[in-house]
Amino acid sequence: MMRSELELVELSRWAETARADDVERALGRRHRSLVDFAALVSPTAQQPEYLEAMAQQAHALTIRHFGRVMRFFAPLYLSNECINVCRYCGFSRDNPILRVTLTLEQVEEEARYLHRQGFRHILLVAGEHPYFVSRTYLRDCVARLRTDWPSISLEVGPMETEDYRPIVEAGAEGLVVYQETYNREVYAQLHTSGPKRDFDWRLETPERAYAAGFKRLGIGALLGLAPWRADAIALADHAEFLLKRCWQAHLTISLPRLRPAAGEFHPLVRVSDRDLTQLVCALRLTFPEVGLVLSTRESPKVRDGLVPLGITMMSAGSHTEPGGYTGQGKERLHVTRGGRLIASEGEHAEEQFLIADTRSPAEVAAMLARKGYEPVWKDWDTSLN
Amino acid sequence: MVTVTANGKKFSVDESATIAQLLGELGWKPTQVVVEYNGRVLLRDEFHHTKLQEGDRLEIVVPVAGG
Amino acid sequence: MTTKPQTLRIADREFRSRLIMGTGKFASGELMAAALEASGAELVTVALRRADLSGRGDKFANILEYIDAKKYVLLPNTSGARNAEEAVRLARLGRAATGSSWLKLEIHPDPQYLLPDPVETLRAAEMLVKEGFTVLPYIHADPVLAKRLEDVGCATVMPLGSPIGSARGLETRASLEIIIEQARVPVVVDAGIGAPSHAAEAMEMGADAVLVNTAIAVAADPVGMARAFRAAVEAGRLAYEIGLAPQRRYASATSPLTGFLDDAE
Repeated sequence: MMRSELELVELSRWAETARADDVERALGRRHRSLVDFAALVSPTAQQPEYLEAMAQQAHALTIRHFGRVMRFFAPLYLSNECINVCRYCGFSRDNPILRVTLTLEQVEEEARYLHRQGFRHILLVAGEHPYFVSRTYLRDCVARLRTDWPSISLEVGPMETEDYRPIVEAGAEGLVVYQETYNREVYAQLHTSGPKRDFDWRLETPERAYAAGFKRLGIGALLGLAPWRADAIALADHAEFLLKRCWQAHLTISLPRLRPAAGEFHPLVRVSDRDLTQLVCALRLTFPEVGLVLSTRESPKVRDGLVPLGITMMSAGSHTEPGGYTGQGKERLHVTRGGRLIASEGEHAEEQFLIADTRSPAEVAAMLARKGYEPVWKDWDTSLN
Repeated sequence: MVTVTANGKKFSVDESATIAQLLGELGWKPTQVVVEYNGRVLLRDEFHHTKLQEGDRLEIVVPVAGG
Repeated sequence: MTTKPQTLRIADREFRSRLIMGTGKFASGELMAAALEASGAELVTVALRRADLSGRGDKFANILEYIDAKKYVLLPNTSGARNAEEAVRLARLGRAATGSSWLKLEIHPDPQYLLPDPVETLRAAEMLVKEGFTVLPYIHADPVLAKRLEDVGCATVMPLGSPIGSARGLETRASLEIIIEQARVPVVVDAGIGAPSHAAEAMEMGADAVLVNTAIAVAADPVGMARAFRAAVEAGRLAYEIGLAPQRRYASATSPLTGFLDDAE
């Protein structure tokens, strides 16, 4: 069972006042508890000498557990249709943006482009829409890509276990679902309409996905929506629970920081580079074997700086709009209002967010090589089973 | 007389003898043991009214010291 | 601030004591009862054997004569079972004998080292949980087996520190640590604990309880040794709850890894 909200609030309050010896105790331990994690994300632990000590250990742990490799993946946006209203997201239903859902052929075309770039791990992303992004559509997308893509993950609207099963059987290996924020009040203010309003239904998605056979589970919080320390502690509690409950799955945690997006939502809380660095190190020290994901939301400087501190998965050259790589679907751009499609001209469909690292996959791979890391374009093959 | 097997050994008992009576003859009080009768574990109060029949199989077991 | 000891929760019961006692190998029932009293244990294992049918009967054969069922939770074991089916039969007999559905599942076909059979144990566990038993399986310190037993509904896992009666302590230390880290049910270190220091080490490592039998039963003064184990278990647990001091200090003058933050916004 995950800890109660009260326990987590108390722990995050304690974290705000953690002292030097709390931080040192957490640093000295081999197995770190959630209390240690709270100490490692405390303001005290952000003092330069502690942060550097955390970084040194996080680096050593990551090398020992994962080796000098970085797993590469590419996001492929299938559709930016969505029935939810989320105030921070470019796809929010109330944003009058250009939308499109790629056909299966167009999905294959986009995937071929990424395949030529060298990617073998793909993350299919789509807004939540029962009609445009139906379960059968998702299953068919996976089935089409299975032969060329050894690792297929999905980041789509939450579903029931029996809905996930055909998608797993079609060849999907991973499921990503960010809780966005673990702060229930802020969550309610940010998600004002659509199925996404149900906090607990979303929270239990990884367990339902695990029951359907997914072997990789991705969770995360959108940093900037709510006080980041409290969200980090709740996220860590969620991770600890999933590691024990879904013990046959590999868990990854992603730490997207809010970026400018349609709808002009401004982050409520500032999360500095130093905060993000501290969080990456604290997660690595507390969860040595969990994958940490860094997307193109972060600038080259920050990404390069975080590479040795615990990051194990990166995307590169990403586009966050359907058809972004090859211009597929331009002919079917439209605005969706009240469920009706209004044809509309335009350059391309709206992105979910603006990316900050526009380097090509090859450039990022070269950076990694300079830092003594080998980019892993293709991990093992799921085609064995 | 009917022949029954208890703990792997054969015993011959009177026609309508009950399990409780057999236990008595073997020196055991019903409260000291538990009995599996033809594969089923009996409740203690069944000892008195269960009549033994030809070929019955019993396991008469006692809780002992153990780790 | 003083640390109030946390109670041990197994299935639907709470225990103050984290020392579980076995009743085997004592010179007499009375001595066993005295050691049990001194140990402060609340959970006690017993075995089941075929009654001696030679006609003599044996007033003292039934160990339950020496254990007050109101003060202790009885934990019949399935020692003697060589496979899952035999374990289920013994479990049903144990339930009839003790009136409780708690069970120490142990299947060890090899009489020399009494090491547990993982395949039969997992099979038996699944059957027994379905029949409503509260199953506490004795296993080798195998982390994956521990999770599989957790998945089928066992109330705890009871990995061995070293073979039964070997008194060699926590030879499976590294695996025990993994089991403790990954478990969602209490972890009881059972078998091989030969000295109070072994028990304390298990508790400091984060084990939820230890099961001790031989080390107390064969001691020159079992009652005294029971008291020693009681103290060791309490000491180890308290130290664990307080949190052991960090192993090393560190220092790093330069900041090569976080230097990139220096001109950060």
